[in-house]
Amino acid sequence: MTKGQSIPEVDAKVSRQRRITRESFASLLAGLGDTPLEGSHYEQLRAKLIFFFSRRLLAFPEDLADEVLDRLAYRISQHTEIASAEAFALGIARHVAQEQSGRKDQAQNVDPSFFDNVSAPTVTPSKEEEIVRMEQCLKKLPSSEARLLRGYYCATGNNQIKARKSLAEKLGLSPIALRQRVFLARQRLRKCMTTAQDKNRK
Amino acid sequence: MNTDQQQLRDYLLGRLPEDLATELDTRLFTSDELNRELQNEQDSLIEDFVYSRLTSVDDAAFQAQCARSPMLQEKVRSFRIFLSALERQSDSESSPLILHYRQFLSLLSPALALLLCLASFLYTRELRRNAILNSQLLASSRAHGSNASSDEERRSTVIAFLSANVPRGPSSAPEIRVPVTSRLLELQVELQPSPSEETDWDVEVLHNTEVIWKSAHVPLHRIGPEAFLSLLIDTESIRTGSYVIRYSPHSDQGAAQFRSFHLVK
Repeated sequence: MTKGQSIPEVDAKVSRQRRITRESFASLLAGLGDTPLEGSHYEQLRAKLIFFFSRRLLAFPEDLADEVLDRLAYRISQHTEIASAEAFALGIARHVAQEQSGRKDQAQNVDPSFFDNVSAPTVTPSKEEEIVRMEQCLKKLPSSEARLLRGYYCATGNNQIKARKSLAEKLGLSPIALRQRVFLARQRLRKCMTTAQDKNRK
Repeated sequence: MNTDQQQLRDYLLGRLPEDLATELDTRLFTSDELNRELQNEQDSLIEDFVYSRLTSVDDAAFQAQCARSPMLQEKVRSFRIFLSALERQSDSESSPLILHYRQFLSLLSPALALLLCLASFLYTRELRRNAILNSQLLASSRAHGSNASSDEERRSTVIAFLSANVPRGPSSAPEIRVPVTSRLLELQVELQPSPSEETDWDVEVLHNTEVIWKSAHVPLHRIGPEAFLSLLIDTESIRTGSYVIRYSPHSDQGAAQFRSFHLVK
């Protein structure tokens, strides 16, 4: 539990801790068509759930997404007949969102200082370390992608608009296609950063 | 920004009318494409926020989203780190000449250091070898010469060692300075490679074509691994000028060798 969380959110976390097991998580991955080592469908579904709760302006959308995934895992492990795991997850998400709206009023009555003595986890690497790690990941990218990112981001102000336009022309791409390329390059970079962080933790 | 993009941004900031938002919710859970588009749009939103390009309304809405979502805060932080790394990288690549120069130096430095070490080692070894040889020669001449000469006589002898390790052309012959008070010049001519046989040597010292000193029985001296011939020349028989020493084993006079020197009186 972190500082500033409301009681319903803490409830949600507790219920998740009670329900999720190694077996049910494995069932969830299998239900989504993931292997235990890969988990890309799981990550995608989680990202969708976070968007779903964020646009409803609910606090801690990540925790609510996890709550939905836990409930879904539980259902799958109980052999509930599910035609589409994603559609089922949307149904659960709507339900959780409703629960949250219903509990909002109760949460507003809680004195926020109640959580002041609970410190948030602060095990994060220093900014410098992260920049160095990011530089290493940038070097690992194919040179064309690294050049693309530099061309796309390294101009500022009005120059940036012009630079991006001329970059798109030079590459023979539409502005939308250029954005898509940049997005994919950054996805690769994120993956590299996640791998590097995981290695560092070990 | 086209309509679709605006709609995605409104969805992300939570201000899309509910009917449209519900429709997008359904699309989001049935297609991965919309998920990618939303992530892409979120990247743009973060970029606009970091570069302070958002309107005040959008900026407030985005900050409220950040306050609710630690993951969004992390994404903003991560984007700032990405920009810092990118900036550093483009700084180092903006001057390729300096980069090439650095790469060249980084390759050259170890080679130069190695070469310097090798040269220092050889120089020190040669200095040490000469010092040992000189001290041994001095000790030897003291031991053998005590019965024949007094201290004063020893002081009046000049010893010159012509090393075989220093390759010299005719124009750079070593110079031997002989004080006026000296009576004897001992020329020590190093032989290399060191001869295996203990034979006498024929030696001539020539000034132009004139033979000023000659001996058919110069013995070979050995001190440690060094072998040399010792020629004792009366200083009165020589004067300032260039000289050549011609020497060959007594048993094989065809294999003559030459060593030149310049004498200054």
